[in-house]
Amino acid sequence: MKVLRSFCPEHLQESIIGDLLEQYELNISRRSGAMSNWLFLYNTFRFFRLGILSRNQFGNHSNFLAMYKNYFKTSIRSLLKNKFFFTLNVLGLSIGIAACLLCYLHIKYELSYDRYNPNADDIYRVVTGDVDTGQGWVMVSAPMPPNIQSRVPEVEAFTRLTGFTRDPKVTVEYNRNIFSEGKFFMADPEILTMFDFQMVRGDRNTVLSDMNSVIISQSMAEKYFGGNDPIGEQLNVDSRLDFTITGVFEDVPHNSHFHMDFLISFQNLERVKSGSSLTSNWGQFNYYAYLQLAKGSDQAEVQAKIQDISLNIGSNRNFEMSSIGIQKMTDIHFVDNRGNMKPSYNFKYIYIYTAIAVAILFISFINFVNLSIAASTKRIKEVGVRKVVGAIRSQLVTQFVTESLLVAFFALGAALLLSQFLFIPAVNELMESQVAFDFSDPMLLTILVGLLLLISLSSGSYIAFFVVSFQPIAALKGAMKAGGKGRGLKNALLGLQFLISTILIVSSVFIYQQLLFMKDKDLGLDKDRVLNVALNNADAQSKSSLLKAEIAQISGVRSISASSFLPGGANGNHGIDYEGRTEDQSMFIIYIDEDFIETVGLELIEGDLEQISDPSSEKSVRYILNESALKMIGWETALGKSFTAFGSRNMLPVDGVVKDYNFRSLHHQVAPCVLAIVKNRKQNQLNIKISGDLAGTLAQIETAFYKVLPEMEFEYGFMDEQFDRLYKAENRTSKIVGALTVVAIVLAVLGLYALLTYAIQERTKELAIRKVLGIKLQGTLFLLSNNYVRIMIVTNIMAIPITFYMLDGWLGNFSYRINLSPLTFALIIVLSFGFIFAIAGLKTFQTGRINPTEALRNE
Amino acid sequence: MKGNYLGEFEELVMLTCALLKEEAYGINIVEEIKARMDRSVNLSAVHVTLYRLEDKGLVTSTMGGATAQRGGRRKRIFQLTSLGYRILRETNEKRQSLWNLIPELKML
Repeated sequence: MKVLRSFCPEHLQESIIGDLLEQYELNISRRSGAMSNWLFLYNTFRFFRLGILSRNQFGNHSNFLAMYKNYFKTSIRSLLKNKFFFTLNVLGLSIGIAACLLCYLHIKYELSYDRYNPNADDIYRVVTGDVDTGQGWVMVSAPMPPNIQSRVPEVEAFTRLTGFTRDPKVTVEYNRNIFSEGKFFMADPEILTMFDFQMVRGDRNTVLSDMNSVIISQSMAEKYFGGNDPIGEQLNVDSRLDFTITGVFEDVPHNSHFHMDFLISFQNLERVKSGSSLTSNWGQFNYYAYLQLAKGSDQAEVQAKIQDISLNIGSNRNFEMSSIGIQKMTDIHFVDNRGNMKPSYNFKYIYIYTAIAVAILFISFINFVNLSIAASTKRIKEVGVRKVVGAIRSQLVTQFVTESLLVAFFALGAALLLSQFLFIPAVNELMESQVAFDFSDPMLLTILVGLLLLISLSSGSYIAFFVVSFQPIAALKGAMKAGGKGRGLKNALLGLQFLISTILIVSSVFIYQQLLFMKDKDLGLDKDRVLNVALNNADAQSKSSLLKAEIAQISGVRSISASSFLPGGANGNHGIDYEGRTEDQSMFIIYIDEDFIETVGLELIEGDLEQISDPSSEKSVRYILNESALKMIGWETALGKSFTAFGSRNMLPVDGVVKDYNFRSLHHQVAPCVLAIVKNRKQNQLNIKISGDLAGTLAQIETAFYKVLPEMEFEYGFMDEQFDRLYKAENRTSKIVGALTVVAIVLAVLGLYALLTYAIQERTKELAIRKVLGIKLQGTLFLLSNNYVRIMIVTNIMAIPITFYMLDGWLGNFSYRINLSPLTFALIIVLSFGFIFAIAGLKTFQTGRINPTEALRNE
Repeated sequence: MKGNYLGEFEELVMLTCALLKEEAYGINIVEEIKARMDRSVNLSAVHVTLYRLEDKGLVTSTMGGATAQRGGRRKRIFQLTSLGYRILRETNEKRQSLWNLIPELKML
């Protein structure tokens, strides 16, 4: 009955209910009580029909609608009247919204690493050392995983994974075309199910069962075969082994911790890599290993079981099982451990980016509110009239919220457009990620709607509160004195905005300085104009001396050497021995040839360059230590003392000592290092110092290269660029902070401008009177800006320690760093004050044109 | 006028209304139709139809006296207007004239 009342028009209720009751009584006399009850309910609900419902008159419905229409209309009109402010609002807000959206997309992307894999939670990587703090090494030896599986029942499957060679790239030849490929791997076939590879061609249970099979990614199939069928074709790898294509897999998603274009069976290990073994060599920690545990296994428990395994491999070993651990696959992306295939993502950045995105949203939001208030003073009369006519408070608030909603809506649209066509491509390039909008993501939609509501409700109601609080009479009289109301809040908001901008400006300046510093720092080696040419297969490496001789003849080439040196790294970390050794020690080793020292301009402080670079020397290995190595060993002088990096039996006298040079990035101190000239070693690149015309010489080198290696790809890079690449993360941070700084400055300037406009509107009469009394332009400038200058001083006092603390932490990452000079701080602060005065000056100039008679007329 | 045609159910309700005179209200109409036409109709359908007819001006309604039977609620008594009578009659006549045109067919 109540139900019926709720939807039934009042004037019909009585008779309908009466009829229903009568029918009920009739029914009772004919049928059972329960049946009648049901029929009563049924008949009641049958009244829930259009013919009844449409007879409801929704009270003052039409009136309401008209009013909203009017609100909407006045809103649009006032927005259009202030096209300039409107555009500023929309732009400012859209930047804030876009920042939040991008931040969300970015975080979501980074967190999605490896999550596409349905087994992700059950897969662990076998590691040694402390992987949680980034001190781990993420590879183990080949016989270890099968042994673990046979002794730990939780392990359902394992796979080992390793690159084809230790060199960065390997050549793949098909149909006499040679390509250099960096993503050529071998793994146990279980990897296909464990990592959820999707096969385009071939069955993933059998494609790798043959040793001579290779499977390739879809993009490689496209690259090598175009539209043709790759199955059954032969690929020659590293100019020595042939493999038959048996399958094609879908490209590995970008958000996985590994990448892969070619894959062969791990059974090839022994024939591909000399000195390796599938069943012994327990100490060769060179291979990635993954375990798939039974669902619900406990990581700590399994790890304990692994560490308890006792191996029957004799005492001659350099590791203990107790140092072996397992790392969750979904953690791999977030800790920078040595040996990771892809650069890791520092979790800290999630907080930093979120903070910055929220800060920008906040700034743009403050701007929006301030600008809207500035614009709304013009509408006080409108509000006054509405009040007089009888608008109640809530209706006025509704009107302003509607207006904010309108602006927020436009801003949202603009933000989506800006992101889609401008920001997302930029971010993807910068972060090497593949983020995109996915509107089926409920979280994204929630954020969009949430932002829309948040902006419109809070700003709208604040504006409404501000405007509506005027007495109608005062408003209509035209007295627009806002008085002290809300000034404190406004000042606080403005101060916060200044604070954020100042911090960003100072940070970006110092980050940029540090980058410049790293670029220009004297590394102890001459990296400019050094060309590195890659030798990517066995064939090319064996012909390196021929190629070297050919290139040396080019007039623009000052010197040329072959080495395996890559900026940022070393070729290995070897245990060493020397005369008088008391404890175990190891140091980095870099393989070079006779001419390397001259080519990269290392400074020899002991030894004879001519003797070292004598190609006819009979010595099997020549050792050149660096200063740090000398210090570590504790020698005053090294020349002639016996030393080895290749086992105690091969001790040889040291040939020289070079001054310390930074072969790794400037995050690190120079480490002890030995340069080894090993006779007849195959090196994976040529280093060429160019003295003549760069482009011309490069072309000649290319010609010489193709003359010796006609089928190879000419791959080269400049050493200084390779060094720069070590600072990719820093470069990225610098770019992001730089971009954000620009945004923050623009927003802050807009905000200041709006507030000044507002202040002037408020004080037109005052200024006019002052003008009549003969105030000078400087006086006006002071009058207008002194409030902001005061805020600025307070903000700067707050900003300096905050920035100092933050930047000092960041610079702590580097062993070689700039100092935070107070001069730079001072300069930036002076500049920002200059900014304020410039804007105030602009406004002052405008007020200078106020005609006092006009301003004072309508008193 | 297009709207002046009567639907079959409308016609039925109106006829019952005319028949019941002073007793023409919702539930009575339902019962009457059930008794005379052997046709079960839902109360709400009758109500809706009556309101529609009222909108068209074919019936008018007045609130009748309360009875103890209905929990003290008054009845809404419906009465045909003169327009209602005329339309009802016209509908019947037109239909009759159609019937008159087909006597032979009826014999077959």
